Amino acid sequence: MKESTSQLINRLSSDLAPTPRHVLDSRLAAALVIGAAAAFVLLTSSLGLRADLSTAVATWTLWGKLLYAAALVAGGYVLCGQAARPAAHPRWRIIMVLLPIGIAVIAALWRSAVLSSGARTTEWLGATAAICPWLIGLLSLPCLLALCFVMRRAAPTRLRWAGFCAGLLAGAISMLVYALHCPETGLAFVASWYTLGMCLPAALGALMGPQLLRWR
Amino acid sequence: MAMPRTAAEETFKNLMLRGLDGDADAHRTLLTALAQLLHGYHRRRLGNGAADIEDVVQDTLIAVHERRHTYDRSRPFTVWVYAIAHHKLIDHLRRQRLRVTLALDDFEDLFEAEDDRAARDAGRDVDVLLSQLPPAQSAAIRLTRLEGLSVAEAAAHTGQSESSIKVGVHRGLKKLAALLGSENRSS
Repeated sequence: MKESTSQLINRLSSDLAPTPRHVLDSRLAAALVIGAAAAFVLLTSSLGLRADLSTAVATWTLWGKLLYAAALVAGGYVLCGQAARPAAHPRWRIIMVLLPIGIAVIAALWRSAVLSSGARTTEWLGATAAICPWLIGLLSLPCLLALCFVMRRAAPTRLRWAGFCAGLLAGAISMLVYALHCPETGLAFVASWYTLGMCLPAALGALMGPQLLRWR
Repeated sequence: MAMPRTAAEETFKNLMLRGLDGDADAHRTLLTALAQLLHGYHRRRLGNGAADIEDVVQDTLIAVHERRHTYDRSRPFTVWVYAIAHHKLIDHLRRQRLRVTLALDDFEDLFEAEDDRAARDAGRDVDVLLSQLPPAQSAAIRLTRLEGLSVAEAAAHTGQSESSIKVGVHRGLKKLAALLGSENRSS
């Protein structure tokens, strides 16, 4: 016989365990750590770290990349925390991701304006522009999966948006890891190709969100 | 008598917070009160006679319970629970492959008493009129004329045959016209 609603309620409220305050946030953080670790293992076992890493840590370009990626991780994390919860969240919060991108692009334009046209091409394209976004996209996949796993067990109500946010965050963490391999030094390179690399998983997340994040 | 929305928010949120801290009685009280509200909410959208109302109510309660960790304690509880109810309803309709467009109406709707709403919102007079018809007729009209379903879909949804949907719509509309006529004459 089918369970009556009052039976259901009694079943659900017996053996009720307290819910810790920040369960969702810690699950998202765990997904992030797992994703970053997986990306790091993938990177070191295939491409390797950049050969000059020990000298590069003394340059501002490496730290600039890491800072840029970290700012995007922070913004993406906040967006994911909101998108994983039901009810409407203002989408203008995307500004938390757009702001670092905007600053990077303006800085890149500023810098390339003073360069000669030859140096400007190198600044924008480097030597690895054709593969950089794809590698960042690939490295982000474990993190995207882990985030989707957490989100499905949360309660997103805008699945496309939630997928997009998960993709952004996965892309940002992948960018952070990829910076340890990438030998490029151009600010404009980072502002364009790194950002594009992050947009790939974001687009994938938005595309697949309704299927991947559907919950019952 | 409708509970003012702020009072409802306070009462429900209080129960929710206690439930989150492990108070089983508060959790049971919350789910019981929600079950009643959800029944009204889903019935108004699925039609009076719909056989699946209780299923959706139970699905929503399970979602509220299983996903209670997604409630942010600093935000209104009513908004959270409304979003889940709306999501479960859409999901339910989608699973039935019914192409229904539901208005994303105000979340306050869930927390108002029915008489209050009808009096405030002239558009809801339709509900009052339809409630005077036999359930089969009012469901037929609601699904085909208000929710925009085809006759075949409405038949599949209610379990009536297509011809009885058509007859229900025809007779129901005729009766409504008569009701409206007598109301106009008397006023």
